[in-house]
Amino acid sequence: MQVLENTMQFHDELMKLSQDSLSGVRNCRVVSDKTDPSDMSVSHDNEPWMELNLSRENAAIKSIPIQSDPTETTIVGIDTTNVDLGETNEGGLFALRGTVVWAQNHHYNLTRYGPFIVFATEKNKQVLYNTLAANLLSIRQTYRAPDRPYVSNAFRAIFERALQRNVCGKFRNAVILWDGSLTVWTNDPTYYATQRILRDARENGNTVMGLSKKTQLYVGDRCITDLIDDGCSPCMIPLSFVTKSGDEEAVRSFGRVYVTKLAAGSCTFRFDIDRELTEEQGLIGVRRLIGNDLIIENYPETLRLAHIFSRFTATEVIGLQRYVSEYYSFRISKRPDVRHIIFGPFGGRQIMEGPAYDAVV
Amino acid sequence: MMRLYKIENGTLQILSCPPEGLRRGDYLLVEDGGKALIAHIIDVAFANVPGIMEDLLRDLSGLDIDAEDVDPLNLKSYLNQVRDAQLYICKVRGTLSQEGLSSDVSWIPSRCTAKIAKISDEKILKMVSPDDSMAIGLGFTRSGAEIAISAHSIDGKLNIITGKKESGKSNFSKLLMLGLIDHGGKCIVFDVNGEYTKLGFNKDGTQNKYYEKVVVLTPGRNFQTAISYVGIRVVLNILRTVFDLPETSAWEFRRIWESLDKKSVPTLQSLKQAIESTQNEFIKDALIRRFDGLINSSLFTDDPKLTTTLEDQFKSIPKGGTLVINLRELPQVYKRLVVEFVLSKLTGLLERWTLRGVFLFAEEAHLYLNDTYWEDIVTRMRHLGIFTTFITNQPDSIKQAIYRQADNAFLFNFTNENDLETVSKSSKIDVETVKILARELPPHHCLILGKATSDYPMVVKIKALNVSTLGETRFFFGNN
Ligand SMILES: Nc1ncnc2c1ncn2[C@@H]1O[C@H](COP(=O)(O)OP(=O)(O)OP(=O)(O)O)[C@@H](O)[C@H]1O
Ligand SMILES: [Mg+2]
Repeated sequence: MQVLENTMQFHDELMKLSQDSLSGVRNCRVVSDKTDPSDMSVSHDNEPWMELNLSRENAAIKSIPIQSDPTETTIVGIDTTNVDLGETNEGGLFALRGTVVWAQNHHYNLTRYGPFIVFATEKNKQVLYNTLAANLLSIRQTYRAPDRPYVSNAFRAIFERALQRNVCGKFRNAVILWDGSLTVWTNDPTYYATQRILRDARENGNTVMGLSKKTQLYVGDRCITDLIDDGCSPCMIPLSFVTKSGDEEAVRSFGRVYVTKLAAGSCTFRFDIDRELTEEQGLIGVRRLIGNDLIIENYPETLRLAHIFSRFTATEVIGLQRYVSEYYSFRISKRPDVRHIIFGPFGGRQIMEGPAYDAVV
Repeated sequence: MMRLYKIENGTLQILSCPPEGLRRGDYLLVEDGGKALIAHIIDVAFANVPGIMEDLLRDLSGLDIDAEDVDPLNLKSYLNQVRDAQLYICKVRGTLSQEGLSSDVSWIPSRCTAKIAKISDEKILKMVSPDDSMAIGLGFTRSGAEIAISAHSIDGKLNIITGKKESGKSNFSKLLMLGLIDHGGKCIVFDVNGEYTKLGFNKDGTQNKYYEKVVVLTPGRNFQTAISYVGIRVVLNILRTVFDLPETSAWEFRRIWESLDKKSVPTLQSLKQAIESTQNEFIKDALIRRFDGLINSSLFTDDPKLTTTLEDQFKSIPKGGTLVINLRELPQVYKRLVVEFVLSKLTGLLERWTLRGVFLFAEEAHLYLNDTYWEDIVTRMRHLGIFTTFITNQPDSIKQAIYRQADNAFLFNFTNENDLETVSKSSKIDVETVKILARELPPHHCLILGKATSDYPMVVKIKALNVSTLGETRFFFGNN
């Protein structure tokens, strides 16, 4: 079963994006292959920076205990990734993939979209970017396409919003987990789209929450993790924040921000819950999340699966590179990599599998 | 697509993606700069593709999830090819160049430019023995092409056929024997199970084209000789080795024989009488007991109508054929007796050039061959023209020294680790090749190692003979 109602149009759009962009790629000479298959952590940490206004005393006092609520609720997790496949003089080649995971009745379902391969050059990136934004998110306004190093991330951001839009429009009375915070630059192309998506979600009775696993929160010089005792878990601590002076207009958070500890002995995360919901509605959502999803290491299984199944493994990157070189005569030639020479073939991070013979494709 | 990945200790590793699906035993040509290495796949493994562990773990964690891939570019099958990339572990067997095949394996092709492709066994065989006027058809390659070896590669050679029970050794040795006969070869076989006695018949019992060329000799029945024909040397040897005659008594026997020989031709009767009149009681007893054993073997007779000679028997197959020495119903000691007599006699015939050479087939030789004879067979007798093929299901019954002398080894399936160990250690080719290839031979498939395939190991599906195989003595007498 496919989650997305307008799925056909959705991947037709992405297919077209792939094909249109790749048609310009034939027989390109590659100047570098920046992908080291062993090190492909995808960075989409371009979240707006915010300073949180908290004091130790405040935080400790306001801690809210959470009980699990088994009322049957669908939990949905969405994540996407992008990976760079190589670069030519004209532009970069990258792949996108996204996954939607939903838990119903403690059974997990998953739909994975992609991989989609995009070749973005200085010439075509503006057209591709606008078309994608218009067709996937109905963004009419034109935004300047980002500079080369950020292109793949920007495309992924639109792709991710589009998946979120589809999910929020399709599910009813569900808890929907996004990867990352609900904070958006006001000049970001997805700013208004995000607002609309959250509105649609509420109209369908959904509770949207953003989980940021990478956000480090500090109070003074202490990590916020230390503020919550194991004894009171599961619990949440509401945080208020201020934007840095002068940036007030530049950044907006669509979420009510909490620090959570959903299970004892695990790390804490930042939780943003749609701020247009009442605080009580948000907390009900969290209780149902605990009651309907597996929580492992304080992290919901739906979102973990969405992340794992989106991620490109080294094997897949090699396969995708072979694909483009075979079908588009796009040669990715390996340049000597200093790290290879110093740390061995996998930059010192080889997974030991212990076969009798080894080879790198 | 295949690429040369590594060369290590004479082993090539060839990467294949998408996997070509080649198998152990297949040959590859690694061509570069106008010549090509001939690489023999001895093992097939998965390539250690980076990230594959993560890939597989993810698959596993998705097993109980209802998962669907929306993959409009259909990249999944493409990605799977990478996961299935194979590594072919090869031994280099030679070089193919303008000048033809050579055993030069000292050069290294380029990783970047070498072209790699499969080459069929039959092509290699064509190259190693282009002249097939002396071909012996053995069977088929896995791809179904007919495979033949040259009779020259058996001529003058020492061969070993081994494999576990019922693996098809005898069928193969018969095939080889009939092939030699087709080219006029003369053979002799020590047939412990009587299974060569019906080589002259089709499965349905009718006579085949070898009928006249297969002479079955059953000792004590249609195969009896005069003791004088055997001669003092052989008789003494038999008394010593088969009947453990002590040295002093052997001296006495020689004296008796020689004194009789001065007067007339010694016979069983005259010898017996002379022994009985020996003075020394100990020696007399010792001699009588052994001589009775000799008489009871029925191999010898004083009746001139019943005697025959090996020369006569060989004369009956002037254009090639085989003497089948049927040992089936003989008691153990007599088997030895007959074998030693035949071997001594053969040596004599070859020394006198009465016979040019003979192909000897010895099944389970450890049952009837004394230790002293083994060395003799592979050294002195071989120089004289006895070209032996040992057939056994107990590889360790053949000494390492014999394996080292062997020119050809025909290996059938082994499951027993000890047997594999013995065979792989003893063969002239590397241990891995034998261990890996011999272990997985299907029934009736043979791994040929040695001169027969010019040292290119080859797996062949041996063809089934249309000859009657079971030996029934009654049938033999009926047709004699
Ligand atoms: N190439 C072949 N194709 C088909 N059948 C075969 C082939 N070789 C042998 N057989 C059959 O397999 C059985 C065993 O063959 P064979 O007697 O040659 O084996 P063996 O190895 O000599 O056995 P043993 O160890 O008992 O002497 C026989 O029934 C024979 O007919
Ligand atoms: Mg047999």
